[in-house]
Amino acid sequence: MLTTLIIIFLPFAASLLILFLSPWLQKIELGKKLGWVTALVPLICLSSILSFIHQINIEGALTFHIPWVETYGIELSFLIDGLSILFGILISGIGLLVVIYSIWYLSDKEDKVKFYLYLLMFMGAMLGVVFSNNLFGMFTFWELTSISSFLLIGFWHNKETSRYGAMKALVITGVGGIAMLAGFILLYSITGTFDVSKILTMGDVIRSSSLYMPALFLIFLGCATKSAQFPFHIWLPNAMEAPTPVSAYLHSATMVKAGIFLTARLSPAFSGTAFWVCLVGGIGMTTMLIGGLMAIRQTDLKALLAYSTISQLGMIMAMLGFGTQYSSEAAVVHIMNHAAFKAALFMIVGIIDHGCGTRDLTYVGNLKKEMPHSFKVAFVACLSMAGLPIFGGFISKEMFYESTLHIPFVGIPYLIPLIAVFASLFTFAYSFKFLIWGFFTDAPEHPPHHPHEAPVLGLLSPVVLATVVILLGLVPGLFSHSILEPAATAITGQPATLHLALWHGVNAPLIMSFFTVVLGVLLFKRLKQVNAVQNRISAVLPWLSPNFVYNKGFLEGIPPLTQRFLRRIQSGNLKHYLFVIMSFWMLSTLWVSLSKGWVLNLDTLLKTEMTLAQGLTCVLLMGAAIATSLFENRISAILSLGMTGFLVAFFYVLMGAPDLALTQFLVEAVSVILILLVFHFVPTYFDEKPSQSTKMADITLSAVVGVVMTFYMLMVMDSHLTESIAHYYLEASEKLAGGRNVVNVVIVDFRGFDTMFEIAVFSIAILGIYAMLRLKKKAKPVQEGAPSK
Amino acid sequence: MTSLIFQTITRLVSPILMIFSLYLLFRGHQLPGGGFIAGLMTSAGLVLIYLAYGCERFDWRNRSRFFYYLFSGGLALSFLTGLAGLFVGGFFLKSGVAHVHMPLINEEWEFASAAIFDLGVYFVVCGVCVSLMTLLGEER
Amino acid sequence: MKMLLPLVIGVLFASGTYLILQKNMLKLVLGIGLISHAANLILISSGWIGPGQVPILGRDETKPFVDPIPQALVLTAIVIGFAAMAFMLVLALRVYKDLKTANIEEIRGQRG
Repeated sequence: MLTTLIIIFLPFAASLLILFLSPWLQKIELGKKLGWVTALVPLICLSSILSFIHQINIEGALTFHIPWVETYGIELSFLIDGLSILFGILISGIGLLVVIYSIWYLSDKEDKVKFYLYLLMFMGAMLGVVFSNNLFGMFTFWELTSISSFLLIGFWHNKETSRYGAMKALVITGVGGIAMLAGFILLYSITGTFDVSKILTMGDVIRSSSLYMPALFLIFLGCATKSAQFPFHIWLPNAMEAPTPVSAYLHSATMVKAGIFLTARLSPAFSGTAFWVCLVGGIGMTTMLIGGLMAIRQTDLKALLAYSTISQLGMIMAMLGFGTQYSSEAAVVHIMNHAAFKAALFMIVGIIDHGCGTRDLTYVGNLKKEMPHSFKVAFVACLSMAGLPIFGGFISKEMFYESTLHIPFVGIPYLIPLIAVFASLFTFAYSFKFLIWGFFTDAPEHPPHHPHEAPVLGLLSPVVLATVVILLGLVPGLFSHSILEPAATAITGQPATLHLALWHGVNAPLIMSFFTVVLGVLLFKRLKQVNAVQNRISAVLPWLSPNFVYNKGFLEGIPPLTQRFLRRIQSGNLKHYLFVIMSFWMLSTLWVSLSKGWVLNLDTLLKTEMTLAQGLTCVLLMGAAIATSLFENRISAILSLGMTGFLVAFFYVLMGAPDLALTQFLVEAVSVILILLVFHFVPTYFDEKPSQSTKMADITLSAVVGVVMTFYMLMVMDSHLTESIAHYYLEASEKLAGGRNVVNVVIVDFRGFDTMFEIAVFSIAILGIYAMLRLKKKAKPVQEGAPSK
Repeated sequence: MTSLIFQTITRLVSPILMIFSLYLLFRGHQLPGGGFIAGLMTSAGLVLIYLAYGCERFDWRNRSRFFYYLFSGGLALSFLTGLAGLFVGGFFLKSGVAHVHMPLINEEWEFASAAIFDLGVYFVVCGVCVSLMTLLGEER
Repeated sequence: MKMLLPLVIGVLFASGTYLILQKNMLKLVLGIGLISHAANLILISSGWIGPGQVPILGRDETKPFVDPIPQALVLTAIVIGFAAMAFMLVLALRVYKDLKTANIEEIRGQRG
């Protein structure tokens, strides 16, 4: 319990600490100290998560609950199982390496306080997502990751491109998040609980529900936007404006895997239908293909990695989408592999960027000699990414091929395996583009300064990751039993056993791999020509890219539209507003009274007797009201308003409300004096003369209001929708509050809270009046040309 | 408005108004009346004096501060009654009734905590209304 | 009475609406005053059961009581309405003194 809380809240606590210490931190010479201290946080988290492994292997899953909004079943509850452990290890482990890497990467000029503050906030949010056992808790943390990602992408906020990228990421993932929330609510209406561990056991109920498809679609929309699936992948390349440690951490290893995580998490509840395979698997395969296609034409190494990340995420998503036991195991293995080699490659790009002053392949090349250590790391990681033997990537690529051969609900044979091989060609090609163009062949241009290798501190993290990549290939058993098997078990719900090995004998996947390598080499040889064709196509047909939709449709389309809409409804003309408000009021009143089927029952109304006093009051009241509205002389208008007030007070007497009558009399007396005092300062006559047509329009609207309200009242007075609760007050008044004047008892006792706020409002009004009358600035003279009388 | 007739009538009426308003305040729990009504009536009486004698006679300018204290004090009093309910009765604004036997007149008197709340309401209404009038009256 | 009361409320609403549609700020305040009277009357009439007894206990227990809850609501509404009206009036006064006009269309877009 305590350990769980430490895992999730330690990063938040640390970021808060940094926040509150920031005024002090910004003054002192920080150097590398802050980074080292920050590194302790993921270290502690990592060791806490590792301490759970043994327990999980024995007990399966653990849950903890902390009540939050109990009435709605929303609580802070945590689920620890194989899947969350796997992601927890990725988040804290890569977090640790990234923080160490960033100590080297960030120069002393950068705002380190801000950087670590956001990074820790992200880490906490991400851990919260993977360990949440409540949909609402998960959603909250999910949105927090979007926000911290926004802040980190916009870290160099003085750059235009950073702001564009940050905004784009926030908009796309934010829209997805809202869709996901709607999906969660649908899920709740199916299952009646927000508890993830309970939802996972209700798969049959969910799949047979009529809301299954909309719920899955909406939740998957959230996953797809977060995990940069086609066509929402466009934010990820722009997110590369972030500092490289951030790209390595958020935009390759962890945050973009949140969508993968959620899909995996919910797959016991949702998978196993044709819709699931088509939606998740289809989108995954499409993304894999398009990501690869885009990646091979990039010359910016970071953009290349961004698109390759999209492609790899698509591949993992596809494996989850296939929904078989084997494909889920493959997905888990590849999640681990991808996190390791991709984070390593990002860090290498950061080193290249630092060493050469650019990371564009037009300037960067033949780095093998200048950067020998980086080269070794890149070599291992690229070959793993390309799926070549002895590295982890080979194992998961083989498993991917194997799983494409056995997909349920797909009618056409060989279709998916062919697409898989085709998409893998691109993977092979961009991996080799990175490796060969970057480290072997010469670049067309010279880099801004002569390349130099990073120090040990910068190389430490990539080297550790490269070691992991090698270990994943050579001794996969090191991870498979303790980490990967429980994760696969959590995804499928069936106990998983992994037999990971490099050599499985000559079988279909091996043949597919063989073809991939052969064709991939051919593609790589012709890469320059292919890139030329691609550039031509994108120049001629710009609308092919979803970016076009975002830029033209969203950024340039929506603001003018909302502006026009706002101009229309916010005209600034009070009369216009009033007209809209009144019309809406009238229409809604009519609609309600008609839809409720209220009928005008004049008989009973006519039968009730009426005394002379009542009739006279009514007639006088109407006269006074009309007079108030028609007098042009202000004194007459005020006096007839006062008259109206006194008549209303008299009305209260007739209706058995002495308290009201007294109040109304006194208020009227005081307010007539008040109005007279105020009107003392303004002209005697209301000076505007409205035109005949405006006058007629005003009279018409007021007449309509009057007539509708009259009919409404006629209908309402005769209907009793609910029983009055008055008898409770009448009985309890003397017993509980010791008062016989029920009205007063209600005011000061039963509903004392209302009254307290009312007198507060009363006091606030006088404070406002005081401010208006006493605290005046010296008024500027009215400008020349301003309308005056 | 400083006519002699008006001043004379004011001199007669305003004390009655004051006393009657206090009567209304204290009987509010049992009969028509209460903080709002009594507060309005007191302020009506004070406004009457103000209108009849103007601003100088009673030195309103310096006394207006008193009315600011009055309404803030009233608000505080009502809030403190609520707090007392919280500490004594268990929740905010919890009210209580006590029956006390008065020794001299030999009668059962009833004290409701809500009456203190009502007193706060009275102070607020009275303070706000009079402050409003003096603020406006001093406006030039 | 039951026939006339809706009519009274309708007339109050109509006059109030007419007033708030005018350009003069002070007329606007008067109009809001009328409309708040009408609203109070609607509330109070919802608890009115014809000739009933004033909701003060301990007199005659046989006749039915008038509903006390709308009365309590309206009582606070009257007082709040007074505060709001005072605020609006002073606002109008302030605007008039600074801008020398009480016409809402002339006020628009001006800075004092």
